[in-house]
Amino acid sequence: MGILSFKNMQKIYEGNVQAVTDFNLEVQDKEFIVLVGPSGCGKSTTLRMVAGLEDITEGDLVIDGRRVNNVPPKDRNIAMVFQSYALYPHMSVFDNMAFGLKLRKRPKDEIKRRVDEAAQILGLQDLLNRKPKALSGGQRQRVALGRAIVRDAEVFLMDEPLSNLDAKLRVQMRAEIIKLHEKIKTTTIYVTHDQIEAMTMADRIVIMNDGYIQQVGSPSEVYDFPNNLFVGGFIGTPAMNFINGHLDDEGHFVTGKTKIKIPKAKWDNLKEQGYENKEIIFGIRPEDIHDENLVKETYPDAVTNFKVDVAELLGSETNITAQFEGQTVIARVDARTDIAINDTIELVFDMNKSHFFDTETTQRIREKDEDKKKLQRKNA
Amino acid sequence: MDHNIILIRSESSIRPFKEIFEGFFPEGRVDFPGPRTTFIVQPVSESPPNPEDLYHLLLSDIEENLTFLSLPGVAQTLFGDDFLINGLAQIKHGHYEYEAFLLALIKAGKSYQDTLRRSIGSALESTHIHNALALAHHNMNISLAAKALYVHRNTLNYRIESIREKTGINIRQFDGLMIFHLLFS
Ligand SMILES: Nc1ncnc2c1ncn2[C@@H]1O[C@H](COP(=O)(O)OP(=O)(O)OP(=O)(O)O)[C@@H](O)[C@H]1O
Ligand SMILES: [Mg+2]
Repeated sequence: MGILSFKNMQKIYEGNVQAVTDFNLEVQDKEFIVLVGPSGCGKSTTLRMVAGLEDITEGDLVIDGRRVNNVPPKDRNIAMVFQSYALYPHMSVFDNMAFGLKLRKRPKDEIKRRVDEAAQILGLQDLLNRKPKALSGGQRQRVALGRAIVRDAEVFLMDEPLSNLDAKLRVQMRAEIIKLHEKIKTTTIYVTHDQIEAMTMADRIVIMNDGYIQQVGSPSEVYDFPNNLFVGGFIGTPAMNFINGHLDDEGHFVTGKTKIKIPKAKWDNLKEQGYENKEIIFGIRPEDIHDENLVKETYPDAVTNFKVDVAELLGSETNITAQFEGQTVIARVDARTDIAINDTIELVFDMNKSHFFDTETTQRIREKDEDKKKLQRKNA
Repeated sequence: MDHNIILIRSESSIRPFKEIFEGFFPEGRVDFPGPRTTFIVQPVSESPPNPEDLYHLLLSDIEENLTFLSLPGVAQTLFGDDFLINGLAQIKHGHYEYEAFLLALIKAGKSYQDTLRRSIGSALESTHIHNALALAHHNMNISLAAKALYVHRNTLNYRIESIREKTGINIRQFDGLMIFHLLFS
Protein backbone atom coordinates (compact mmCIF):
# COMPACT_ATOMS: atom_id res chain seq x y z
CA MET A 1 0.00 0.00 0.00
CA GLY A 2 1.07 3.56 -0.55
CA ILE A 3 -1.30 6.00 1.09
CA LEU A 4 0.06 9.38 2.04
CA SER A 5 -1.53 12.03 4.12
CA PHE A 6 -0.08 15.53 4.40
CA LYS A 7 -1.52 17.53 7.25
CA ASN A 8 -0.83 21.25 7.52
CA MET A 9 2.74 20.71 6.49
CA GLN A 10 5.13 23.64 6.60
CA LYS A 11 8.73 24.11 5.70
CA ILE A 12 10.72 27.03 6.95
CA TYR A 13 14.39 26.94 5.98
CA GLU A 14 17.16 28.49 7.92
CA GLY A 15 17.13 32.25 7.51
CA ASN A 16 13.34 32.25 7.80
CA VAL A 17 12.67 31.18 4.22
CA GLN A 18 9.10 29.93 4.14
CA ALA A 19 9.22 27.39 1.32
CA VAL A 20 5.96 25.48 1.92
CA THR A 21 2.87 26.73 3.77
CA ASP A 22 -0.08 24.75 5.08
CA PHE A 23 0.20 21.83 2.66
CA ASN A 24 -2.78 19.47 2.92
CA LEU A 25 -3.26 16.48 0.65
CA GLU A 26 -4.57 12.93 0.79
CA VAL A 27 -2.89 10.63 -1.74
CA GLN A 28 -4.70 7.39 -2.53
CA ASP A 29 -3.01 4.07 -3.05
CA LYS A 30 -1.77 3.62 -6.68
CA GLU A 31 -2.31 7.27 -7.49
CA PHE A 32 0.01 9.19 -9.82
CA ILE A 33 0.23 12.67 -8.33
CA VAL A 34 2.06 15.46 -10.12
CA LEU A 35 3.28 18.53 -8.24
CA VAL A 36 3.59 21.38 -10.68
CA GLY A 37 4.33 25.09 -10.39
CA PRO A 38 6.89 27.73 -11.30
CA SER A 39 10.50 27.63 -10.18
CA GLY A 40 10.93 28.11 -6.44
CA CYS A 41 7.31 27.34 -5.54
CA GLY A 42 8.27 24.54 -3.14
CA LYS A 43 7.85 21.35 -5.19
CA SER A 44 11.24 19.82 -4.47
CA THR A 45 11.03 20.87 -0.85
CA THR A 46 7.74 19.03 -0.48
CA LEU A 47 9.16 15.93 -2.14
CA ARG A 48 12.28 16.04 0.00
CA MET A 49 10.15 16.18 3.12
CA VAL A 50 8.41 13.01 1.98
CA ALA A 51 11.78 11.40 1.32
CA GLY A 52 13.04 12.41 4.74
CA LEU A 53 15.91 14.40 3.29
CA GLU A 54 14.48 17.59 4.74
CA ASP A 55 12.95 18.08 8.20
CA ILE A 56 9.28 18.90 8.41
CA THR A 57 9.04 22.21 10.26
CA GLU A 58 5.41 21.78 11.25
CA GLY A 59 2.48 19.48 10.56
CA ASP A 60 2.31 15.73 9.99
CA LEU A 61 3.23 13.35 7.26
CA VAL A 62 1.53 9.99 7.52
CA ILE A 63 2.47 7.11 5.22
CA ASP A 64 0.30 4.01 5.43
CA GLY A 65 -1.04 4.99 8.80
CA ARG A 66 2.33 5.75 10.36
CA ARG A 67 3.50 9.24 11.21
CA VAL A 68 6.93 9.41 9.61
CA ASN A 69 8.10 12.92 10.54
CA ASN A 70 10.94 11.42 12.56
CA VAL A 71 11.49 8.21 10.59
CA PRO A 72 14.83 8.17 8.74
CA PRO A 73 14.64 8.00 4.93
CA LYS A 74 15.74 4.41 4.64
CA ASP A 75 12.90 3.22 6.86
CA ARG A 76 10.16 5.03 4.93
CA ASN A 77 9.89 2.45 2.17
CA ILE A 78 10.19 4.93 -0.64
CA ALA A 79 12.33 5.00 -3.78
CA MET A 80 13.66 8.14 -5.39
CA VAL A 81 14.46 9.05 -8.98
CA PHE A 82 16.33 12.30 -9.46
CA GLN A 83 16.84 14.78 -12.22
CA SER A 84 20.11 13.34 -13.41
CA TYR A 85 19.60 9.85 -14.70
CA ALA A 86 23.12 8.97 -13.78
CA LEU A 87 24.32 5.42 -13.37
CA TYR A 88 27.48 3.97 -11.88
CA PRO A 89 29.71 3.95 -14.97
CA HIS A 90 31.85 1.02 -13.86
CA MET A 91 28.95 -1.30 -13.03
CA SER A 92 26.87 -3.41 -15.37
CA VAL A 93 23.17 -2.71 -15.79
CA PHE A 94 22.49 -5.62 -13.46
CA ASP A 95 24.76 -4.27 -10.75
CA ASN A 96 23.42 -0.75 -11.11
CA MET A 97 19.97 -2.06 -10.34
CA ALA A 98 21.14 -4.50 -7.67
CA PHE A 99 23.34 -2.11 -5.73
CA GLY A 100 20.67 -0.66 -3.43
CA LEU A 101 19.49 -4.16 -2.55
CA LYS A 102 23.03 -5.36 -1.87
CA LEU A 103 23.46 -2.45 0.52
CA ARG A 104 20.34 -3.64 2.29
CA LYS A 105 21.89 -7.11 2.52
CA ARG A 106 19.08 -8.86 0.64
CA PRO A 107 19.80 -12.51 -0.20
CA LYS A 108 21.44 -13.13 -3.58
CA ASP A 109 18.57 -15.09 -5.14
CA GLU A 110 16.06 -12.44 -4.11
CA ILE A 111 18.22 -9.74 -5.69
CA LYS A 112 18.46 -11.69 -8.90
CA ARG A 113 14.73 -12.32 -8.99
CA ARG A 114 13.88 -8.66 -8.43
CA VAL A 115 16.36 -7.36 -10.99
CA ASP A 116 15.12 -9.89 -13.56
CA GLU A 117 11.53 -8.84 -12.91
CA ALA A 118 12.36 -5.15 -13.30
CA ALA A 119 14.36 -5.87 -16.45
CA GLN A 120 11.37 -7.74 -17.83
CA ILE A 121 9.02 -4.84 -17.10
CA LEU A 122 11.37 -2.34 -18.73
CA GLY A 123 12.52 -4.51 -21.63
CA LEU A 124 16.11 -4.54 -20.45
CA GLN A 125 16.61 -8.32 -20.31
CA ASP A 126 19.22 -8.39 -23.06
CA LEU A 127 21.20 -5.48 -21.69
CA LEU A 128 21.90 -6.65 -18.16
CA ASN A 129 25.59 -7.25 -18.75
CA ARG A 130 26.25 -3.98 -20.54
CA LYS A 131 27.96 -1.00 -19.04
CA PRO A 132 26.07 2.32 -19.09
CA LYS A 133 28.26 3.85 -21.77
CA ALA A 134 27.07 1.17 -24.19
CA LEU A 135 23.44 2.23 -23.74
CA SER A 136 21.31 4.84 -25.50
CA GLY A 137 19.90 7.76 -23.52
CA GLY A 138 16.50 6.14 -23.33
CA GLN A 139 17.93 2.83 -22.18
CA ARG A 140 19.91 4.56 -19.47
CA GLN A 141 16.82 6.33 -18.28
CA ARG A 142 15.04 3.00 -18.10
CA VAL A 143 17.83 1.53 -16.02
CA ALA A 144 17.49 4.51 -13.68
CA LEU A 145 13.80 3.65 -13.32
CA GLY A 146 14.76 0.01 -12.81
CA ARG A 147 16.92 1.02 -9.87
CA ALA A 148 13.76 2.34 -8.22
CA ILE A 149 11.52 -0.56 -9.26
CA VAL A 150 13.71 -3.28 -7.74
CA ARG A 151 13.34 -1.67 -4.35
CA ASP A 152 9.72 -2.76 -4.21
CA ALA A 153 8.90 0.49 -2.43
CA GLU A 154 5.41 1.65 -1.51
CA VAL A 155 5.99 5.11 -2.94
CA PHE A 156 8.04 6.46 -5.84
CA LEU A 157 9.32 9.99 -5.64
CA MET A 158 10.49 11.58 -8.87
CA ASP A 159 11.96 15.05 -9.08
CA GLU A 160 11.95 16.28 -12.70
CA PRO A 161 13.38 12.97 -13.91
CA LEU A 162 13.07 13.99 -17.55
CA SER A 163 14.30 17.55 -17.46
CA ASN A 164 17.79 16.73 -18.72
CA LEU A 165 16.54 14.89 -21.79
CA ASP A 166 16.09 16.30 -25.26
CA ALA A 167 12.52 16.99 -26.36
CA LYS A 168 12.05 13.77 -28.33
CA LEU A 169 13.36 11.49 -25.62
CA ARG A 170 11.32 13.36 -23.05
CA VAL A 171 8.08 12.61 -24.85
CA GLN A 172 9.12 8.98 -25.25
CA MET A 173 10.05 8.60 -21.58
CA ARG A 174 6.87 10.32 -20.46
CA ALA A 175 4.93 7.55 -22.17
CA GLU A 176 7.31 4.97 -20.73
CA ILE A 177 6.74 6.15 -17.17
CA ILE A 178 2.96 6.15 -17.63
CA LYS A 179 3.13 2.62 -19.03
CA LEU A 180 5.30 1.56 -16.13
CA HIS A 181 2.84 3.00 -13.65
CA GLU A 182 0.00 1.14 -15.32
CA LYS A 183 1.92 -2.09 -14.90
CA ILE A 184 3.16 -1.84 -11.35
CA LYS A 185 0.78 0.77 -9.93
CA THR A 186 3.12 2.05 -7.27
CA THR A 187 1.90 5.30 -5.72
CA THR A 188 3.97 8.02 -7.33
CA ILE A 189 4.65 11.65 -6.54
CA TYR A 190 6.16 13.30 -9.55
CA VAL A 191 7.55 16.83 -9.62
CA THR A 192 7.77 18.96 -12.74
CA HIS A 193 7.51 22.59 -13.74
CA ASP A 194 6.18 21.53 -17.15
CA GLN A 195 2.40 21.79 -17.19
CA ILE A 196 2.12 19.65 -20.31
CA GLU A 197 3.93 16.85 -18.51
CA ALA A 198 1.57 17.32 -15.59
CA MET A 199 -1.55 17.26 -17.78
CA THR A 200 -0.50 14.15 -19.68
CA MET A 201 0.79 12.07 -16.78
CA ALA A 202 -1.22 12.83 -13.67
CA ASP A 203 -4.22 11.19 -12.09
CA ARG A 204 -4.38 14.34 -10.04
CA ILE A 205 -2.39 17.53 -10.31
CA VAL A 206 -1.32 19.63 -7.37
CA ILE A 207 -0.63 23.16 -8.57
CA MET A 208 1.61 25.18 -6.29
CA ASN A 209 2.65 28.81 -6.23
CA ASP A 210 4.81 30.55 -3.69
CA GLY A 211 4.64 27.63 -1.25
CA TYR A 212 0.86 27.38 -1.31
CA ILE A 213 -1.33 24.78 -2.99
CA GLN A 214 -3.51 26.61 -5.51
CA GLN A 215 -5.62 23.68 -6.58
CA VAL A 216 -5.78 19.90 -6.52
CA GLY A 217 -7.72 18.08 -9.19
CA SER A 218 -7.75 15.86 -12.24
CA PRO A 219 -6.20 17.37 -15.38
CA SER A 220 -9.60 18.12 -16.89
CA GLU A 221 -10.88 19.59 -13.64
CA VAL A 222 -8.04 22.07 -13.24
CA TYR A 223 -8.35 22.92 -16.91
CA ASP A 224 -12.10 23.50 -16.97
CA PHE A 225 -12.61 24.73 -13.44
CA PRO A 226 -9.50 26.67 -12.41
CA ASN A 227 -9.76 27.96 -8.84
CA ASN A 228 -8.18 31.30 -9.58
CA LEU A 229 -6.32 33.49 -12.06
CA PHE A 230 -3.03 31.78 -11.31
CA VAL A 231 -4.29 28.30 -12.19
CA GLY A 232 -6.21 29.61 -15.19
CA GLY A 233 -3.06 31.23 -16.53
CA PHE A 234 -0.65 28.44 -15.60
CA ILE A 235 -2.50 25.47 -17.08
CA GLY A 236 -2.94 25.48 -20.85
CA THR A 237 -0.85 26.77 -23.77
CA PRO A 238 -1.31 29.34 -25.06
CA ALA A 239 -2.52 30.60 -21.71
CA MET A 240 -6.07 31.62 -20.94
CA ASN A 241 -6.84 35.22 -21.99
CA PHE A 242 -7.76 37.61 -19.22
CA ILE A 243 -9.69 40.72 -20.17
CA ASN A 244 -10.35 43.50 -17.67
CA GLY A 245 -13.74 45.14 -17.67
CA HIS A 246 -16.99 45.36 -15.72
CA LEU A 247 -20.53 44.06 -15.76
CA ASP A 248 -23.47 46.33 -16.50
CA ASP A 249 -26.95 45.74 -15.11
CA GLU A 250 -28.40 44.26 -18.29
CA GLY A 251 -26.41 41.05 -18.63
CA HIS A 252 -23.29 42.27 -20.43
CA PHE A 253 -19.57 42.16 -19.89
CA VAL A 254 -18.26 45.60 -20.87
CA THR A 255 -14.71 46.45 -21.88
CA GLY A 256 -13.90 49.70 -23.68
CA LYS A 257 -16.62 50.21 -26.28
CA THR A 258 -17.47 46.52 -26.50
CA LYS A 259 -20.47 44.95 -24.81
CA ILE A 260 -20.74 41.17 -24.81
CA LYS A 261 -23.88 39.33 -23.89
CA ILE A 262 -23.48 36.77 -21.09
CA PRO A 263 -25.61 33.57 -21.27
CA LYS A 264 -28.56 33.76 -18.91
CA ALA A 265 -27.57 31.09 -16.40
CA LYS A 266 -24.12 32.61 -16.00
CA TRP A 267 -25.52 36.10 -15.70
CA ASP A 268 -28.07 35.08 -13.07
CA ASN A 269 -25.31 33.52 -11.05
CA LEU A 270 -23.06 36.59 -11.31
CA LYS A 271 -25.98 38.83 -10.35
CA GLU A 272 -26.88 36.66 -7.42
CA GLN A 273 -23.32 36.92 -6.15
CA GLY A 274 -23.42 40.70 -6.33
CA TYR A 275 -21.23 41.41 -9.35
CA GLU A 276 -23.76 43.62 -11.15
CA ASN A 277 -22.09 46.93 -12.11
CA LYS A 278 -18.81 45.68 -10.61
CA GLU A 279 -15.35 45.36 -12.04
CA ILE A 280 -14.53 41.84 -13.11
CA ILE A 281 -11.96 39.83 -15.06
CA PHE A 282 -13.24 37.84 -17.99
CA GLY A 283 -11.24 34.70 -18.82
CA ILE A 284 -11.46 32.82 -22.09
CA ARG A 285 -9.22 30.10 -23.50
CA PRO A 286 -7.71 30.66 -26.97
CA GLU A 287 -9.59 27.67 -28.35
CA ASP A 288 -12.89 29.15 -27.15
CA ILE A 289 -12.51 32.13 -29.46
CA HIS A 290 -13.85 31.22 -32.89
CA ASP A 291 -13.90 32.45 -36.44
CA GLU A 292 -16.47 30.08 -37.93
CA ASN A 293 -19.63 31.64 -39.30
CA LEU A 294 -21.77 29.06 -37.58
CA VAL A 295 -20.54 30.15 -34.16
CA LYS A 296 -20.95 33.80 -35.09
CA GLU A 297 -24.54 33.14 -36.04
CA THR A 298 -25.15 31.29 -32.80
CA TYR A 299 -23.73 34.07 -30.60
CA PRO A 300 -24.29 37.25 -32.61
CA ASP A 301 -23.93 39.31 -29.41
CA ALA A 302 -20.42 38.06 -28.79
CA VAL A 303 -18.90 38.87 -32.19
CA THR A 304 -16.21 41.52 -31.99
CA ASN A 305 -13.43 43.09 -34.02
CA PHE A 306 -9.76 42.27 -33.46
CA LYS A 307 -6.70 43.88 -34.96
CA VAL A 308 -4.15 41.23 -35.85
CA ASP A 309 -0.57 41.46 -34.50
CA VAL A 310 0.63 38.02 -35.51
CA ALA A 311 -0.92 34.96 -37.11
CA GLU A 312 1.11 31.80 -36.60
CA LEU A 313 0.18 28.83 -38.71
CA LEU A 314 0.92 25.68 -36.69
CA GLY A 315 -0.04 22.70 -38.79
CA SER A 316 -3.75 22.23 -38.39
CA GLU A 317 -4.24 25.38 -36.33
CA THR A 318 -3.53 29.06 -36.42
CA ASN A 319 -2.71 31.10 -33.33
CA ILE A 320 -3.83 34.66 -33.81
CA THR A 321 -2.42 37.29 -31.50
CA ALA A 322 -4.59 40.37 -31.73
CA GLN A 323 -5.56 43.62 -30.06
CA PHE A 324 -8.98 43.83 -28.53
CA GLU A 325 -9.99 47.00 -26.71
CA GLY A 326 -6.36 47.78 -25.95
CA GLN A 327 -5.67 44.32 -24.55
CA THR A 328 -3.74 41.48 -26.16
CA VAL A 329 -5.73 38.36 -26.86
CA ILE A 330 -4.71 35.05 -28.39
CA ALA A 331 -7.20 32.98 -30.37
CA ARG A 332 -6.63 29.49 -31.68
CA VAL A 333 -8.62 28.78 -34.80
CA ASP A 334 -8.50 26.24 -37.59
CA ALA A 335 -5.59 26.62 -39.98
CA ARG A 336 -5.98 29.60 -42.28
CA THR A 337 -3.59 31.58 -44.41
CA ASP A 338 -5.70 34.57 -45.32
CA ILE A 339 -4.81 36.74 -42.33
CA ALA A 340 -2.18 39.46 -42.48
CA ILE A 341 -0.71 41.75 -39.85
CA ASN A 342 -2.90 44.77 -39.09
CA ASP A 343 -5.99 43.16 -40.63
CA THR A 344 -9.15 43.67 -38.71
CA ILE A 345 -11.01 40.41 -38.30
CA GLU A 346 -14.23 39.29 -36.70
CA LEU A 347 -14.00 36.70 -33.96
CA VAL A 348 -16.56 35.40 -31.54
CA PHE A 349 -16.27 34.39 -27.90
CA ASP A 350 -17.95 31.14 -26.95
CA MET A 351 -19.55 32.71 -23.90
CA ASN A 352 -20.67 29.34 -22.58
CA LYS A 353 -16.99 28.66 -21.98
CA SER A 354 -16.35 32.01 -20.33
CA HIS A 355 -14.85 32.30 -16.85
CA PHE A 356 -15.18 35.25 -14.51
CA PHE A 357 -12.73 36.15 -11.79
CA ASP A 358 -13.00 38.48 -8.84
CA THR A 359 -10.66 41.41 -9.46
CA GLU A 360 -9.63 41.66 -5.83
CA THR A 361 -9.35 38.06 -4.60
CA THR A 362 -8.38 36.71 -8.08
CA GLN A 363 -10.65 33.73 -7.29
CA ARG A 364 -12.86 32.38 -10.05
CA ILE A 365 -16.54 33.04 -9.44
CA ARG A 366 -18.03 29.59 -9.09
CA GLU A 367 -21.25 28.46 -10.70
CA LYS A 368 -24.03 26.75 -8.84
CA ASP A 369 -24.18 23.53 -10.81
CA GLU A 370 -20.42 23.19 -10.94
CA ASP A 371 -20.01 20.43 -8.37
CA LYS A 372 -22.71 18.45 -10.12
CA LYS A 373 -20.87 18.82 -13.44
CA LYS A 374 -17.60 17.73 -11.90
CA LEU A 375 -19.24 14.71 -10.32
CA GLN A 376 -20.94 13.73 -13.56
CA ARG A 377 -17.61 13.85 -15.29
CA LYS A 378 -15.95 11.74 -12.63
CA ASN A 379 -18.64 9.07 -12.94
CA ALA A 380 -18.57 9.11 -16.72
CA MET B 1 48.75 19.57 -12.93
CA ASP B 2 45.33 21.16 -12.66
CA HIS B 3 42.84 19.30 -10.53
CA ASN B 4 39.50 19.47 -8.77
CA ILE B 5 38.67 18.12 -5.38
CA ILE B 6 35.52 16.45 -4.19
CA LEU B 7 34.75 16.27 -0.48
CA ILE B 8 32.01 14.06 0.86
CA ARG B 9 30.54 13.74 4.32
CA SER B 10 28.04 11.09 5.33
CA GLU B 11 26.03 10.27 8.44
CA SER B 12 27.54 6.82 8.83
CA SER B 13 30.86 5.33 7.83
CA ILE B 14 31.55 5.71 4.15
CA ARG B 15 34.70 3.57 3.87
CA PRO B 16 32.78 0.61 2.43
CA PHE B 17 32.15 2.76 -0.61
CA LYS B 18 35.80 3.09 -1.56
CA GLU B 19 35.24 0.92 -4.62
CA ILE B 20 32.32 3.07 -5.72
CA PHE B 21 34.38 6.23 -5.51
CA GLU B 22 37.26 4.67 -7.37
CA GLY B 23 34.90 3.32 -9.99
CA PHE B 24 33.18 6.66 -10.45
CA PHE B 25 36.43 8.66 -10.52
CA PRO B 26 38.79 6.22 -12.24
CA GLU B 27 41.49 8.87 -12.58
CA GLY B 28 41.00 10.21 -9.08
CA ARG B 29 42.81 9.55 -5.83
CA VAL B 30 40.49 8.62 -2.97
CA ASP B 31 41.39 9.26 0.68
CA PHE B 32 39.48 8.97 3.93
CA PRO B 33 40.71 11.59 6.38
CA GLY B 34 37.97 10.48 8.79
CA PRO B 35 35.47 7.63 9.02
CA ARG B 36 32.69 9.82 7.61
CA THR B 37 34.76 11.97 5.31
CA THR B 38 36.00 11.27 1.80
CA PHE B 39 38.55 13.40 -0.03
CA ILE B 40 38.96 12.85 -3.75
CA VAL B 41 41.53 14.53 -5.96
CA GLN B 42 40.42 14.45 -9.56
CA PRO B 43 42.66 15.65 -12.41
CA VAL B 44 40.96 18.03 -14.82
CA SER B 45 40.02 16.13 -17.97
CA GLU B 46 37.94 16.61 -21.06
CA SER B 47 34.68 15.07 -19.91
CA PRO B 48 35.07 14.53 -16.18
CA PRO B 49 32.53 12.51 -14.20
CA ASN B 50 29.94 14.82 -12.63
CA PRO B 51 30.06 14.67 -8.81
CA GLU B 52 26.42 15.72 -8.62
CA ASP B 53 25.48 12.53 -10.45
CA LEU B 54 27.25 10.48 -7.80
CA TYR B 55 25.54 12.53 -5.13
CA HIS B 56 22.12 11.58 -6.52
CA LEU B 57 23.09 7.95 -7.04
CA LEU B 58 24.31 7.53 -3.49
CA LEU B 59 21.40 9.48 -2.08
CA SER B 60 18.93 7.07 -3.66
CA ASP B 61 20.96 3.99 -2.70
CA ILE B 62 22.15 4.81 0.81
CA GLU B 63 19.13 6.94 1.63
CA GLU B 64 20.78 9.15 4.14
CA ASN B 65 21.79 12.74 3.97
CA LEU B 66 25.12 13.49 2.36
CA THR B 67 27.16 16.63 1.89
CA PHE B 68 29.06 16.90 -1.38
CA LEU B 69 31.51 19.61 -2.35
CA SER B 70 32.96 20.05 -5.83
CA LEU B 71 35.85 22.51 -5.56
CA PRO B 72 38.64 23.74 -7.80
CA GLY B 73 42.11 22.61 -6.77
CA VAL B 74 43.12 26.15 -5.89
CA ALA B 75 40.84 25.94 -2.84
CA GLN B 76 43.38 23.50 -1.36
CA THR B 77 46.29 25.91 -1.71
CA LEU B 78 44.23 28.83 -0.58
CA PHE B 79 42.57 27.43 2.53
CA GLY B 80 44.30 24.16 3.35
CA ASP B 81 42.74 20.71 3.62
CA ASP B 82 41.89 20.95 7.32
CA PHE B 83 39.89 24.11 6.87
CA LEU B 84 37.90 22.54 4.02
CA ILE B 85 37.24 19.34 5.96
CA ASN B 86 36.09 21.31 9.00
CA GLY B 87 33.94 23.52 6.81
CA LEU B 88 32.36 20.45 5.26
CA ALA B 89 31.06 19.47 8.68
CA GLN B 90 29.61 22.94 9.35
CA ILE B 91 27.20 23.25 6.48
CA LYS B 92 23.80 21.76 5.77
CA HIS B 93 23.65 18.56 3.73
CA GLY B 94 23.32 18.88 -0.04
CA HIS B 95 25.49 19.27 -3.12
CA TYR B 96 27.57 22.44 -3.30
CA GLU B 97 29.65 24.02 -5.99
CA TYR B 98 32.56 26.14 -4.83
CA GLU B 99 30.89 29.55 -4.54
CA ALA B 100 27.81 28.16 -2.80
CA PHE B 101 30.09 26.41 -0.32
CA LEU B 102 31.98 29.61 0.51
CA LEU B 103 28.69 31.46 0.99
CA ALA B 104 27.48 28.73 3.33
CA LEU B 105 30.72 29.06 5.32
CA ILE B 106 30.28 32.82 5.56
CA LYS B 107 26.91 32.11 7.13
CA ALA B 108 28.50 29.54 9.48
CA GLY B 109 30.11 32.20 11.63
CA LYS B 110 32.69 34.85 12.23
CA SER B 111 35.74 32.64 12.57
CA TYR B 112 35.10 31.20 9.12
CA GLN B 113 34.58 34.66 7.70
CA ASP B 114 37.87 35.80 9.18
CA THR B 115 39.81 32.93 7.68
CA LEU B 116 38.18 33.36 4.30
CA ARG B 117 38.86 37.08 4.32
CA ARG B 118 42.49 36.52 5.25
CA SER B 119 43.12 33.74 2.74
CA ILE B 120 41.37 35.35 -0.20
CA GLY B 121 42.76 38.78 0.70
CA SER B 122 46.34 37.58 0.75
CA ALA B 123 46.01 35.88 -2.63
CA LEU B 124 44.94 39.12 -4.32
CA GLU B 125 46.13 42.67 -4.69
CA SER B 126 43.94 45.28 -3.08
CA THR B 127 43.12 46.67 -6.55
CA HIS B 128 41.42 43.40 -7.40
CA ILE B 129 39.24 43.49 -4.32
CA HIS B 130 38.44 47.12 -4.91
CA ASN B 131 37.41 46.32 -8.49
CA ALA B 132 35.26 43.40 -7.43
CA LEU B 133 33.41 45.65 -5.01
CA ALA B 134 32.90 48.23 -7.74
CA LEU B 135 31.41 45.55 -9.94
CA ALA B 136 29.01 44.60 -7.16
CA HIS B 137 28.17 48.25 -6.63
CA HIS B 138 27.26 48.55 -10.32
CA ASN B 139 25.00 45.52 -10.38
CA MET B 140 27.52 43.35 -12.22
CA ASN B 141 27.55 45.74 -15.15
CA ILE B 142 31.14 45.65 -16.39
CA SER B 143 30.95 48.77 -18.56
CA LEU B 144 29.57 50.90 -15.76
CA ALA B 145 32.03 49.53 -13.22
CA ALA B 146 34.98 50.11 -15.59
CA LYS B 147 33.86 53.68 -16.20
CA ALA B 148 33.58 54.40 -12.50
CA LEU B 149 37.05 52.92 -11.94
CA TYR B 150 38.56 54.92 -14.83
CA VAL B 151 39.88 51.75 -16.43
CA HIS B 152 39.23 50.15 -19.80
CA ARG B 153 36.65 47.37 -19.97
CA ASN B 154 39.38 44.97 -21.05
CA THR B 155 41.44 45.82 -18.01
CA LEU B 156 38.52 45.04 -15.75
CA ASN B 157 37.80 41.83 -17.63
CA TYR B 158 41.42 40.86 -17.27
CA ARG B 159 41.32 41.44 -13.51
CA ILE B 160 38.12 39.45 -13.16
CA GLU B 161 39.88 36.54 -14.86
CA SER B 162 42.87 37.00 -12.64
CA ILE B 163 40.66 36.80 -9.54
CA ARG B 164 39.31 33.56 -10.90
CA GLU B 165 42.78 32.16 -11.51
CA LYS B 166 44.07 33.05 -8.08
CA THR B 167 41.03 32.18 -5.98
CA GLY B 168 38.84 30.00 -8.20
CA ILE B 169 35.96 32.41 -7.56
CA ASN B 170 33.96 33.53 -10.58
CA ILE B 171 32.70 37.04 -9.88
CA ARG B 172 30.85 37.20 -13.17
CA GLN B 173 28.20 35.22 -11.35
CA PHE B 174 26.06 36.48 -8.55
CA ASP B 175 27.23 34.00 -5.89
CA GLY B 176 30.89 34.71 -6.57
CA LEU B 177 30.47 38.45 -6.39
CA MET B 178 28.36 38.08 -3.26
CA ILE B 179 31.34 36.49 -1.51
CA PHE B 180 33.42 39.62 -2.08
CA HIS B 181 30.59 41.85 -1.07
CA LEU B 182 30.01 39.98 2.20
CA LEU B 183 33.69 39.66 3.12
CA PHE B 184 35.16 42.96 2.03
CA SER B 185 32.59 45.75 1.98
N1 LIG C 1 18.39 24.56 1.62
C1 LIG C 1 17.68 25.68 1.48
N2 LIG C 1 17.86 26.74 2.31
C2 LIG C 1 17.13 27.86 2.18
N3 LIG C 1 16.17 28.04 1.25
C3 LIG C 1 15.94 27.04 0.39
C4 LIG C 1 16.69 25.81 0.45
N4 LIG C 1 16.23 25.00 -0.54
C5 LIG C 1 15.27 25.69 -1.18
N5 LIG C 1 15.09 26.91 -0.63
C6 LIG C 1 14.10 27.93 -1.03
O1 LIG C 1 12.81 27.39 -0.85
C7 LIG C 1 11.95 27.76 -1.92
C8 LIG C 1 11.40 26.51 -2.60
O2 LIG C 1 12.46 25.83 -3.24
P1 LIG C 1 12.25 24.45 -4.02
O3 LIG C 1 13.59 23.93 -4.38
O4 LIG C 1 11.36 23.56 -3.23
O5 LIG C 1 11.48 24.95 -5.33
P2 LIG C 1 11.02 24.12 -6.63
O6 LIG C 1 9.56 24.33 -6.74
O7 LIG C 1 11.52 22.73 -6.58
O8 LIG C 1 11.73 24.94 -7.79
P3 LIG C 1 12.46 24.43 -9.15
O9 LIG C 1 11.37 24.26 -10.17
O10 LIG C 1 13.34 25.58 -9.50
O11 LIG C 1 13.20 23.18 -8.85
C9 LIG C 1 12.78 28.64 -2.83
O12 LIG C 1 12.52 29.96 -2.49
C10 LIG C 1 14.20 28.26 -2.50
O13 LIG C 1 15.08 29.33 -2.72
MG1 LIG D 1 12.94 21.61 -7.74
